[in-house]
Amino acid sequence: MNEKSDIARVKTGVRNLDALFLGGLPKGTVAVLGGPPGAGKTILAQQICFHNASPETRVLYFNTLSEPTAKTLRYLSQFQFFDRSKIEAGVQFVDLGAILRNEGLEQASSLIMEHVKKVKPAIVVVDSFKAFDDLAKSYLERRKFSYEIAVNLMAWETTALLLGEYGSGDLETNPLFSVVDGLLTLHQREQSGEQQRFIQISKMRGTEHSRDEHSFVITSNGIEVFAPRVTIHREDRNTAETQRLKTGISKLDALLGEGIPLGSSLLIAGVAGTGKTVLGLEFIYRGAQAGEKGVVFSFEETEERLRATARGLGWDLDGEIDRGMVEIVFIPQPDILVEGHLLMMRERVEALGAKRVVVDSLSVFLHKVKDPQISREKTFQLATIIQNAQAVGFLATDIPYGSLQLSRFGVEETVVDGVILLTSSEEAFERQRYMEVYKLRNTAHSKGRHNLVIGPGGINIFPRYPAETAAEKPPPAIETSRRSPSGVPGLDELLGGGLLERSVTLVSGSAGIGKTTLGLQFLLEGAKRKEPGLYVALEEGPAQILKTAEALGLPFAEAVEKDLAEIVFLSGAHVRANQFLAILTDKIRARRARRLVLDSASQVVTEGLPPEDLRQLLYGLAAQFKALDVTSLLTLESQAMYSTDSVNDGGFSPAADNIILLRYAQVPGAIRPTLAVVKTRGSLHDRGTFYFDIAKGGVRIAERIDETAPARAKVDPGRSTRRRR
Amino acid sequence: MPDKSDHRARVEAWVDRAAKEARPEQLLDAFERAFGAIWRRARVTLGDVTLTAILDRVLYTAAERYPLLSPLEVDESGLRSDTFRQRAGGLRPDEVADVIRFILVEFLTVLGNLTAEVLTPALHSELAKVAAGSAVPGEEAKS
Repeated sequence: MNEKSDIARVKTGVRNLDALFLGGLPKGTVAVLGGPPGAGKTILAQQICFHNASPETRVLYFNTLSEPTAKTLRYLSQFQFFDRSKIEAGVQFVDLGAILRNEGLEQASSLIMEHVKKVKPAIVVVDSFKAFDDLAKSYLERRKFSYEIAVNLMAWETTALLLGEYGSGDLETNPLFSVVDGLLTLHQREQSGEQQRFIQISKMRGTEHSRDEHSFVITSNGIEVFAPRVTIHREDRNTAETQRLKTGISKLDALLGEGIPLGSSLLIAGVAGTGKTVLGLEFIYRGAQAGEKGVVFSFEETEERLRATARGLGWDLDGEIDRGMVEIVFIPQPDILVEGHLLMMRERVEALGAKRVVVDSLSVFLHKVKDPQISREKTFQLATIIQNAQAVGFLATDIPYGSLQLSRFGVEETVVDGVILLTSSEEAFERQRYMEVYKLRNTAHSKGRHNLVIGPGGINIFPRYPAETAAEKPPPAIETSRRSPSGVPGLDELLGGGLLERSVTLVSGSAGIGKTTLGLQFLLEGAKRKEPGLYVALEEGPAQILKTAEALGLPFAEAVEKDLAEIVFLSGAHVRANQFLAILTDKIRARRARRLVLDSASQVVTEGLPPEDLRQLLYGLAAQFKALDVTSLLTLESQAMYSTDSVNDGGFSPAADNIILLRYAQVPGAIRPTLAVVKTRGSLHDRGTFYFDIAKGGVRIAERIDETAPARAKVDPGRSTRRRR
Repeated sequence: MPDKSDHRARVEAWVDRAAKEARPEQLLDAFERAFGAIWRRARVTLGDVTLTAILDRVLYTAAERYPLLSPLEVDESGLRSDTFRQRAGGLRPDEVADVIRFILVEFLTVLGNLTAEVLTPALHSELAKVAAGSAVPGEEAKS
């Protein structure tokens, strides 16, 4: 008994308009289309008529005393929706001008109903109904006429659109508005610096409907309504198992933990020149290579310029575009219509089946929006499009220079799922770029800033904390039963039998004392044992190091030739301290190195990093070497010739397992190099100070310094023990 | 939810009862009583203007199909069939039954469409209450 009936709907054929009525105009509605001249009333009505007209669904279009029918037809023919074949068989135009001029309202009413009875139309349009108001001699006559027309049209179950230049003042005074079922107003006004058209449904009986203003445009296609607030809804997803995406960008995935959850949108925030566009482009390119389609919406760079950027970085983006894996959509900044282009983006994402979406940039896309709440809403709608597509979006945003904001408008970051912050700072006469994963929902990600370099091949990130060291579990303890002989005759005895495997040794030495030689011997010993080694040189080039080795009779060139050793030169001028960790990790893995010499770590220490950053870096290095099963020897340049008071290690000593000091001692008429083992972890060692010689074959430990000798070495009194433990 | 076939079924049943052994004049009498009853019930809710507009539509459509119905007129009191009755004298009973059936079905259908069938039970009830004179003595609505 309480059965509800669904009122049949008349589809308007106007993009997104039906959604505002939850499916279309209720059939049989008598609605006013009101608005000032030029608002688009006639085009809207005609578009609805032609969309519905057929020999079975007929339309009657009455022109009154507004635009002459001839003109109406002429202008109408410009639109795509106009179909000449539907004239007469589907749409009939009737000009009421003459009868209105000569015989007044009553005859006009009869004539309208005569046509209605004859044609039995599904839709009736009166353009403009306001002409009747103007001809009515009294309020009463106007009311009676409006009522009778509305009732008669209702009796014929027609859907009627009564057009008129009605303003807000008419709503309370014109009796028509109490008679009709619906009221749609169209108008235009300036918003965000430009004239925009809006449609609003103020009243519509028989259906729920949106009450907001929605922008629309008139193009050769007719009217297109943009109503993202109504048409873009976040779809519920079963989130039982989060599927994730790997970007494929060098080292970025190491920062992003398990990967970016599908459906996420990330702000790529940074001031101009921090690499936002390249990051977005590479995200798309790497995705295409991995079989994931991607689309770039660019508001500044044309497709050709983006293609050229990609070519310059050595990417075959052209090929991916040709393969249909990538689309670039360029929308010139002045042409941006936020709501319209939001819907266009949705269509393109869905049509391509894109799994990666780049918007470059969100700040330009929303640059005309002055209200932060609207910026937030539009960002949310964009994120919704990406989420519904189960894609991952990179939304670039330009941060104002000198601000602490994470986005242009200061609200976008609250809507998105993640923020990647790109920054730059001037260091040693050049600008360094950094990346920080500031936020990524539901994902354990790396913290802190990481150096980023853009060069051939694209973006290269140098994580400060590789995945291995980020693990909560520390590296296993050093195995005290396994030692790596140092290759220096006499040294292993002082160290309790050699360096413990996977230990980190600091060799602090005065200038020219033999640190490099010690390092070469250490690697040569490894080569002898088929343990590949890396000599990481930060000061001298490979040729110089090989010559030094040759001069000392050390067969290092042979070891290099046999692929048991490699000299890696990292120019201090081009490689930054915070890149070492990533570079060395790659090298160790590629070479499967078991031994490593870093000569000298002083380059890192003197880089000028903030103390906390330096400490973290050095600790990161030590932890990473251990995690990679490498026994390492790091040299440090000491400014002291004789003193053993300090190591100059930037606070690194606690992280080192062993510390060996190389200093000079004055003897009559000369200076002699000395060596003291001041720390070994997990091993007994001799705390004595020994002379050592450098000759053919390298460093060789000589006699212990005799403190009773007249010209004794100037050593730390605390280390003057003769005790050998 | 009733639809046109329900209206048709109700009207068929009523016409079948009314037409049984009835002459054309008796059938027209019964029709006028039935239509009047429906009109009065609908007018309470819908008012003269709306009902007149609806009947105007129904009669226009009916006259298109059965030109002999063109003398039927509508005013605020409802259907005026004097002229039609004068001209309908020569009709066979089945012809009278056909036009009566068409008007009633059309009227109930349009009313039903326009009111989401809200009035339909009441209107069907009014129709059923009207007996066709001596042809269906004592017949009362059961619904």
